[in-house]
Order: sequence, then C-alpha cells, then structure tokens
Amino acid sequence: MQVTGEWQLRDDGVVRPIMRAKVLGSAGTLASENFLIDSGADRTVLSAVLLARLQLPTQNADPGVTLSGIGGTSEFVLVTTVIALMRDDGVLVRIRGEFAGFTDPKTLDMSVLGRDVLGNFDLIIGRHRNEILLLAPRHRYRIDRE
Amino acid sequence: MSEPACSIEDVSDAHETARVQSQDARHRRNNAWLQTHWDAVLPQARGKFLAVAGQEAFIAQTPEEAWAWVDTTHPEDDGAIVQYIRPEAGPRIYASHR
Repeated sequence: MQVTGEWQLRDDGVVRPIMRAKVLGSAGTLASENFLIDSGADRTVLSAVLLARLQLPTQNADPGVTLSGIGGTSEFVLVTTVIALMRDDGVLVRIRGEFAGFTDPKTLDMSVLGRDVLGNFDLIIGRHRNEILLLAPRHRYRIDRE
Repeated sequence: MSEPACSIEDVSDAHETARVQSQDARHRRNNAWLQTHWDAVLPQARGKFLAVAGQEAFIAQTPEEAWAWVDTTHPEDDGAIVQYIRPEAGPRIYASHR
C-alpha cells in the first residue's frame, strides 16, 4: 500500500508535510481535511473547526487524562469516526478508530496525523526529493548509496 | 486514554471509491488555489477562519460562519476546506497551547 502526501505552503510561508484525507461525519458525508503529518504526536487530533463540521457525538476522556504539549494542556473530546485516504493505485482506505478532537477552534490551526495512525505505516518525509509516502505491505523502501 | 488502536481496511465499493476520488480532486484544487493566493487573504485572515471552496476564499469570524458560507455559496464543493489562521506568524512546534 502506498499513499502519497504533499508538501504544502502554509500561511506563514513555511512548507509542511500534509496528508489530504476525508473524515466521516454524522450525516454520512465526508469532510475534506488537511492533516499535518506529525510523527512526534502520540495521537491523531482533529481540529475544532473540523469537529464543528462533522457534528459527531463526542465523549469526554477519562478523568485525569489530558492532551498535552509544550504549551500545556488543552480541552478535548473523543470521537469515533473514519479517516479515509486514497491509495496511489486508486483504492480507498478506511482508518477507523477513536480520535481526539480539540474543542477550542483556536487551539490548533490544523488537524494532526499522529502515531496511532502513522504507526501502521512506514513513513517517508523527504523534502529534497519532495516526497511524502505512507507505505505498508506490499510496498517498502530501500536505501541506495551512490 | 490508553494506546489507541485503529483498524485499516480497503474499500471494495467502486461507486464510493469513485465518489471520493472526485471529492479528492476538488480538495486538491482548493489546496492548490490557496497555495498561490495566500497574498490575497493575508494579513486580513489572521486570527480568523478561512474557507476555500470553488477556488474562492471567504474570511469568517467563526467556524460555523465559514462552513455556512461553503454550504450556501458552493454547496457542490465537498472538497472545501476551512482552517483557523493564527494571528502570529512565527515558527511553530505543533503542540497544544493556551
């Protein structure tokens, strides 16, 4: 399996690794979303802007469980949904799970694809070759030395 | 929150796949448009919510206002995107913040 992402120019002039995805909402419709690929994030997190679109039932996390980063902790909820990615060979892939979602729309400017999803793939983030790849069998990578 | 588990499956429904492929093409077009039009929406979009649909931008005060613009102005565009534009433009470490 190979899914290709893209380097995307953001509002601050910085180019970041992004995966286009579609996220299932309550009405059965799919919302389009750009996910930042963040291999340092433990969890995939949906932005509050996306949550507002999805209108999914939410659950509170267990007491004492926080979603924390360098700046501290932020309010979040849990949603069960599907993140859909398009494989390079045109096959649609559904990733079903429970994902966190921020409740304050100003907490995060984009959704984040974290290790709970990325851990199912080998991840290539290559700026020089302009490549972003999620690989799973039967695709693999090889390093050649010139 | 324990270590989460995701299930991954291929979709065999050709109709659904074709529908998402079309949606993804619209999504890609909106992304491409925005990447070449940042100068048209900044700095006025900073601290606000930016919607892009039909290769057109709209700046809103709230996510709900942004999505409402998408639904009324480009109801056919399921590749629309809405995002918060941070007020500041400095380097970012993507983590939660207050």
